[in-house]
Amino acid sequence: MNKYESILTNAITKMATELPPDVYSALEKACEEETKEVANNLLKTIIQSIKISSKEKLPICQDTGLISVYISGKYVKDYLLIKEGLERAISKLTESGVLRPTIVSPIKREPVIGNVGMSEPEVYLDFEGENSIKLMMRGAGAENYSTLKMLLPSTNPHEISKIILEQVLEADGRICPPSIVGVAIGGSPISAILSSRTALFSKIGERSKVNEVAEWELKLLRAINSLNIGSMGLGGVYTVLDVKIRLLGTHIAMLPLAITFGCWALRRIQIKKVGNIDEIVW
Amino acid sequence: MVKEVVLPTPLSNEDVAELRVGDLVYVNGLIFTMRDLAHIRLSQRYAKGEQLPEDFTGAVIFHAGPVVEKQQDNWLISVIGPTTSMRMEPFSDFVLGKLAVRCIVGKGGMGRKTQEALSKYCAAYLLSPPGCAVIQAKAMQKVLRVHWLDLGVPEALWVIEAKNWGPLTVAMDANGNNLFEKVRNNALNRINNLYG
Repeated sequence: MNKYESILTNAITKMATELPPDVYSALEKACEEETKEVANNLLKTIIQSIKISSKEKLPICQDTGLISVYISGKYVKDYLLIKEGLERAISKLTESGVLRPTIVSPIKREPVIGNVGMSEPEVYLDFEGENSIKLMMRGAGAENYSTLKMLLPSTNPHEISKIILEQVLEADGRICPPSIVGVAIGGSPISAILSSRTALFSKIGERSKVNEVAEWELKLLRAINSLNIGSMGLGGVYTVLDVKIRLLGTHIAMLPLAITFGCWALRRIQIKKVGNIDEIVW
Repeated sequence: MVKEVVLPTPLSNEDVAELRVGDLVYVNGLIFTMRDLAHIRLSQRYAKGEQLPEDFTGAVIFHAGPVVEKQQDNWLISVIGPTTSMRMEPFSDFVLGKLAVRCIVGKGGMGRKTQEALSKYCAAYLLSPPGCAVIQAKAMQKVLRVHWLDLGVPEALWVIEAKNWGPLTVAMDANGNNLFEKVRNNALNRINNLYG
């Protein structure tokens, strides 16, 4: 038996059926504070639904999405083993009904059996990061509104903020708000998108270590929530739970802006070494 | 005051004409799931004059793709929730005009074409709680039939007996009212005030 298959099976099951504690707490807080009735009712239903999912070990959302995996540090040397374990785990979980058969070929739209094949699942390697295997489930509602814009380098922060808000409005109630917004500014088209997505691994309420960026995150959070889009797109004070901004070095002639949304069901989990043992942690 | 309405399927024109945005609806009876590929196949077969697998007159359709379990000869829906309805926007005239569907249930609302078709054919668009997939599965009492499994489980056309499925919020009604429009316009004004 592949040594990673069992722990990856457990991690993916937990990710699909339970919400990270920080996201759950943020939703509870939103539910307590939401004054708009229609949004408040939805938040109550969301909390209730999460509780049943976790108790009955059923997926929180029927869209169990694309599974993306980020292997870093010492785990990278086990890449082939992890990839094999991952593919077996996903394939079996799809068969047993924990994962929906969601992956299809792009043109003919034919099912990719077991959700494995045609470069799925996505695996990324980072030799230098902390020792961990991070996993995220990406539903299409949020992913379809994630975007990359190659801005003019002369675009100022004020204008960048406006573009982000416009994208939040474009996404509207379709991304299952209250959402979490990952933003990356700079880098290349690839690194910007990747970084805007991995920013969602940072816990709700965790601020950027750069003061200026942390202030910008909070300012954007307040501005977005003042739009009154709400949890269903029918109004409400909670449109987003948090905003994460990452700055990356870029080319003198470029200014990429990547935005990745996480729906309220932000499903992420990680495997880390505790002593010599691999453990599943949030 | 929020009005709560229990609707048995198939729906009559009178049932739908009385629905107003903000009303909460509970659906009883047979419903259909339909997403991208089922819309494409249905419209292609209709265009060729071929027979359709079901009669959609007065139907409630759900933009959703379930997770199912097969238990002997029966299908069990373990989780089901709405998908983004806007992807089905190009089919609104076909679905409401040709198939005579009377309620579309989904997430995030639909566009101008659908709004016009809702008024023209007397139909409504309802919102189901996004992501709350186990709760909604409990309202799906029984899978009666499934068509086109070759499209894959989520994209197949599931025929389900629903019981007390709701609350579903009427977000667009047959009188041209649209709950999203006001929220969107206000948000747009707010962006222009903040960053104009």
